[in-house]
Amino acid sequence: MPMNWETFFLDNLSLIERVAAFVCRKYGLSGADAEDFASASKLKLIEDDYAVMRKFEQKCSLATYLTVVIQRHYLDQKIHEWGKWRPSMRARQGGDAAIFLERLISRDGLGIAEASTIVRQKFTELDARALERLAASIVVRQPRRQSSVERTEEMREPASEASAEEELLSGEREVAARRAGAVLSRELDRLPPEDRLIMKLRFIDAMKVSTMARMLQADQKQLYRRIDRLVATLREALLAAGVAMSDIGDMLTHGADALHINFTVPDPAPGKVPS
Amino acid sequence: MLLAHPEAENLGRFVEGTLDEPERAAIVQHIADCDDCRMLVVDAAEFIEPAKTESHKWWMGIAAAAVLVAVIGTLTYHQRRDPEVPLIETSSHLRARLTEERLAGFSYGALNRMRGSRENDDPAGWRLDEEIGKVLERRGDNAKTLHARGIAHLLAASRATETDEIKAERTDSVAALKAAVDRAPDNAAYQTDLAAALLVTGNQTNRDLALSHLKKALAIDRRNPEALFNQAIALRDSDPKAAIAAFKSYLAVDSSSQWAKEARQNLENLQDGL
Repeated sequence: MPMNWETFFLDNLSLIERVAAFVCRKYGLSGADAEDFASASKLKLIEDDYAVMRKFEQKCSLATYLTVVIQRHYLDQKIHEWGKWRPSMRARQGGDAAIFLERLISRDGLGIAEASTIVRQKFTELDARALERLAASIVVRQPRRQSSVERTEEMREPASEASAEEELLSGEREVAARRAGAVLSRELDRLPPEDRLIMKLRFIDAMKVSTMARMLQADQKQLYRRIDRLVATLREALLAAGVAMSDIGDMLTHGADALHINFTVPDPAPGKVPS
Repeated sequence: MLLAHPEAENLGRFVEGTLDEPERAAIVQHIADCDDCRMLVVDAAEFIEPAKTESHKWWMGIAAAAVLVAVIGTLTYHQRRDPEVPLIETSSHLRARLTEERLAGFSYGALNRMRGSRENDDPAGWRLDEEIGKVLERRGDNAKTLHARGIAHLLAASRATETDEIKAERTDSVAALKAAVDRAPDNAAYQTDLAAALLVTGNQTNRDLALSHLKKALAIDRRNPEALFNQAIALRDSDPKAAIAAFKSYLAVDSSSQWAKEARQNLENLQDGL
């Protein structure tokens, strides 16, 4: 292991900067925000006499280690800023505006119309249609501290320029989605941890099966078959629970996000939210 | 209830598929329910292996062409400079490969179970014999030439039919490859090929020596596929459990090639035998 940690740090500075830039891209940071984060990441690695670097035992590649460390640093920063809320994978892929929109809806409990107005004020380059597409693309999860009454109100909130019929259909789809989501969450909880993880990696994170096979140290072909079996099991459970086939097809072919599925551990009751 | 988040390096090892089973299972247990850690793992995997979702971009065609030019250029350069290249190229046309052990840089060929049997009707074999002769005529004692000579002797041993000839070629092969390793001990390919030559002898002492060279190769490059494959082959007869773990390690770095298929077949045979 290197004895001169400053040299080690400087030798790997370009890698550190690439990792920080990667994390910025993942979380939609750009401009000054990205520069600030890159600087903060370097400071994190330097502080306490390169404690983070000294902890590295070369059991994995430095690139992988730094990706985990720097991203964890980002998440720690955001815990202070946002609380425990995290942007969904889909919002992260959509960049700053998508994350901001999702944050307003999921964390702060605003309705789509209200949140969209606020996003337009910050991201003036977005026109109404772009914002509509953005709202449709992100995961609209239940706000952490929202009561059931508020949730019902939100479901009834009319979308801009939507006809009464569209609104009704949208509401029905929403109800079906939530029902399917509840059943799916329950069935996932019943799976062994590795199966549960496989389903999340595949359908929430859209991870390639080859990558999953490497991580899980599994044979790729067998993993494909295993995923097929798990999907079949979940499909049966959903059908048994009376969830429509069309909803299942949508969910299992386009990923859980398409149905607003919440795969996470259920939120604690209001008033018991962890800090 | 979720336990404390795993150490960053353990998550990194999980991403790279190098954790031992109890540690791997613990990480799986954790990230199955911890979204934060799962997110770290997903992104780290993407960073080290960028997602190839954006196909058909116009610049990809240009990039592919550039890579092709670079590859052709590199091959031409190596053909001029590396005496081993004609051996690799000619061997790729053989109906069956000559050693069960993997040789660095050699492409896959189905295994010829009849060791030492020359397939006289294979034209690629005749060309290979010529190329072996040319390499063995080369002068010089730099690492590259010695390595090529060692490989040539090894291939010659596999092509030979007389017991004495086979034995002599194997001995020369080990000597030349050992000399190459002495000159360039940090070359994982040389370490792996020396191990292959030692394993081909079928000698127990040489097998242990081969394992130590494979260990060195993996210390230099822990994802070296030839070293991982040969390590599993080396352990197969003497320590089936270790061989199972070794084949799994190999499959963790290569799960889809013909080599992987062969490794999987070995793995199944070993598991059936336990």
